[in-house]
Amino acid sequence: MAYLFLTAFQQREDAAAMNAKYKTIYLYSFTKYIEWPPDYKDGNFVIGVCGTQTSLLAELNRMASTKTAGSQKIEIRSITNIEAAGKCHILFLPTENMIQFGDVASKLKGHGTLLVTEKEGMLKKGSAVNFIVVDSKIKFQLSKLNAEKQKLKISHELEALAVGNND
Amino acid sequence: MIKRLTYLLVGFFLLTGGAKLYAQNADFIAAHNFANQNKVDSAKARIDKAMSDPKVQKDAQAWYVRGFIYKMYYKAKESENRSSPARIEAVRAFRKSIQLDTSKQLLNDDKENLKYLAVRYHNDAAKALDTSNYETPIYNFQQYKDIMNEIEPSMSTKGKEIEFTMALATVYTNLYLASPRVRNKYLDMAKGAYNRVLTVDPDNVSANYNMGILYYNQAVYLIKVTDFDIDLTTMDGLQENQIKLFKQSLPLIEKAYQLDPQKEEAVQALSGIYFGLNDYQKSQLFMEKLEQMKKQKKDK
Repeated sequence: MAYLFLTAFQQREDAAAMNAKYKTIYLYSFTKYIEWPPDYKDGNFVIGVCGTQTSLLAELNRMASTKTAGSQKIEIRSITNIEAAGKCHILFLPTENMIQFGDVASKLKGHGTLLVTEKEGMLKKGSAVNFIVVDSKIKFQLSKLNAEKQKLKISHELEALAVGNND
Repeated sequence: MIKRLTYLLVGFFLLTGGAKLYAQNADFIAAHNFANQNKVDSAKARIDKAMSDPKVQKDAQAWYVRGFIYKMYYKAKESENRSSPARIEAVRAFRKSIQLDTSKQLLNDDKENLKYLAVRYHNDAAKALDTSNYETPIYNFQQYKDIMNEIEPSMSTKGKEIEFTMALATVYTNLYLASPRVRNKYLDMAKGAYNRVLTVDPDNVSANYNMGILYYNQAVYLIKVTDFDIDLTTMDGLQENQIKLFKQSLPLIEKAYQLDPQKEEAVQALSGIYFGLNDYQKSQLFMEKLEQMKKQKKDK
């Protein structure tokens, strides 16, 4: 007699989506701990993602559909050309798109854009926040100096949560 | 089968002098006759009555006849009832018969009947096991196991037990997935079931893989249900727990992969685990391995 209720191989959940969720939580948290210049306080709060990171864009859009940045509606943009990116409050540059997008930091100089990267050494190349992996966990490094160059004010709480002093 | 009852009892009486009991107890005779006529209700009523006699209660043959009649009753009236009281009583009666039968004249027949009932218990367990009903199948499988261990101790029920426990673990997993929470009782029950299989069969590929995937999915689920408003300190603790779960998943999936290197699901899961542990290089290696496997399969 065979079992009618057969043993099935279980399906695994998507780990990439999980990683995207962590990054989304971080990016959304930055909206609470960072102050943007006055001319960035009107209109939508734009989070741009360089390239077509499907999982991350999906997670960010899910977040944007229920959350706001203060009183600003959150808008998620998939950026394929930095020159045509428009006004972004946060710009995330994934490692795999670094070559394609070139020197993003210099292109954003003076804009009120928080550049977020995920590669060792990127703070030296102008990014203000850099995701790193520490003991298998996603954490972030922070350069207050680079943020200030973009006219952004970083809260002490966020500074305390960052890994090490990077300035 | 009825002929068998008559033949058996006549032979037995001649050998043991049981005819005395047969002659003295009218209910016993009537029960036997009704059984021969396939009148199961009457046979059952009369054997119940006969058993109230203390002399009958001490008689192995009387218990055998009782078991036989209750088995008949079960087959005729309760074969679809997975908790059949008649089957329970038949098993009890045959066991009692074995216990009282010092001459061992009835032993083989008692065992044969018990084996029949054990197989029915097993079949019922297999047929009925699903997410809406797992307690009766567990009971039925336990009955099967207990009876078989008694009557054929040299024959291992290990294979059947693994098969049943694996199916049970799948039921628990599906119940968990029907209303997933970070922890719920079905998740623990599924893990418990896989652990029982792995204790007796550590090289069971499915048990290793499925147990690993339970931990894996639990890890992913932790963050999936987390609100975007979580504060970053709490999120750090969450990542800690998640890593612990991925690390519990890793050796199980690795073992499933070692045992079955062609198992694509295991390679894919390993890529996912390393991705979850933010080891993208290793994750990529397994992803490439998976692509190779798929290509080889296609080329064949």
